[in-house]
Amino acid sequence: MEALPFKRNRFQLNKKTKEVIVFIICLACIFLFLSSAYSKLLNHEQFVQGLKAVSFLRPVASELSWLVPVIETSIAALLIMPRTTWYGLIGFAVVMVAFTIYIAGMMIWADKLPCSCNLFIEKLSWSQHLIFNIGFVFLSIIALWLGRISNYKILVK
Amino acid sequence: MKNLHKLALGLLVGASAIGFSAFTSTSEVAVGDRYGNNGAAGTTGQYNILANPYVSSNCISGSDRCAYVVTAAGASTVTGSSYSEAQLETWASQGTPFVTRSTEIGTYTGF
Repeated sequence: MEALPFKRNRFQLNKKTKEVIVFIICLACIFLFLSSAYSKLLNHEQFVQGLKAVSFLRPVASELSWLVPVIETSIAALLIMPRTTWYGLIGFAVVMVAFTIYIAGMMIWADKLPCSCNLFIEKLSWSQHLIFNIGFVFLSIIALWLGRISNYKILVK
Repeated sequence: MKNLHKLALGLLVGASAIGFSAFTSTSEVAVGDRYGNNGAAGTTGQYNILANPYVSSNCISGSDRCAYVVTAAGASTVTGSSYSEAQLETWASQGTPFVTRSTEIGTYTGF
């Protein structure tokens, strides 16, 4: 029975490692959301048309076309500032879950699958896009978990 | 890791994301690229460059031309993200056309 704590410790990450992992995940999330928001604003008309191609989004396409990049930019800003990183990660996870549910829903129910994606994501199929999103959801959950078990100390100093 | 270092690295990645996105978002319209009829209410007759490969079955109900295809002569001129039907028709009708008309009719839904 005495050997158990020793075995546990062998696989436990130290605080520094956790901090680095969380930080790298945050950087990936910042890159994803800022590049995504910038593309949406730069090609705004195309983004609006992509939203309007989805029947249930058409009535709110104009509002969503501004709301989505604003939310993405706000979450990226929260992630950049060390004192608000925790809230940024929560926001990132929530928004990515929403995007993932949207993609999954579209794959199940939509006749046509219009994509107004950005960067290399537009080269992905919808299935690959879904896997990509799920991957980022998991990454954010891992970051939140690693941050939580050290009582936020690695995130809020 | 110090908070200041984190902030600096976060800003650096943020700036890189915008810079990278700006770089990849530069219009690279090539021969064979297509502008699809967005068909949205109130903007019928407006055509947007397609981000995804053209699929003719994505042309659904409507009476306008579904898409216009950029020709070799038009590749250096037709570089915008969207054009009106009138503009594309002008290019399609000139002696050396900058665009050709797709055979399909309808609204394109595969942006």
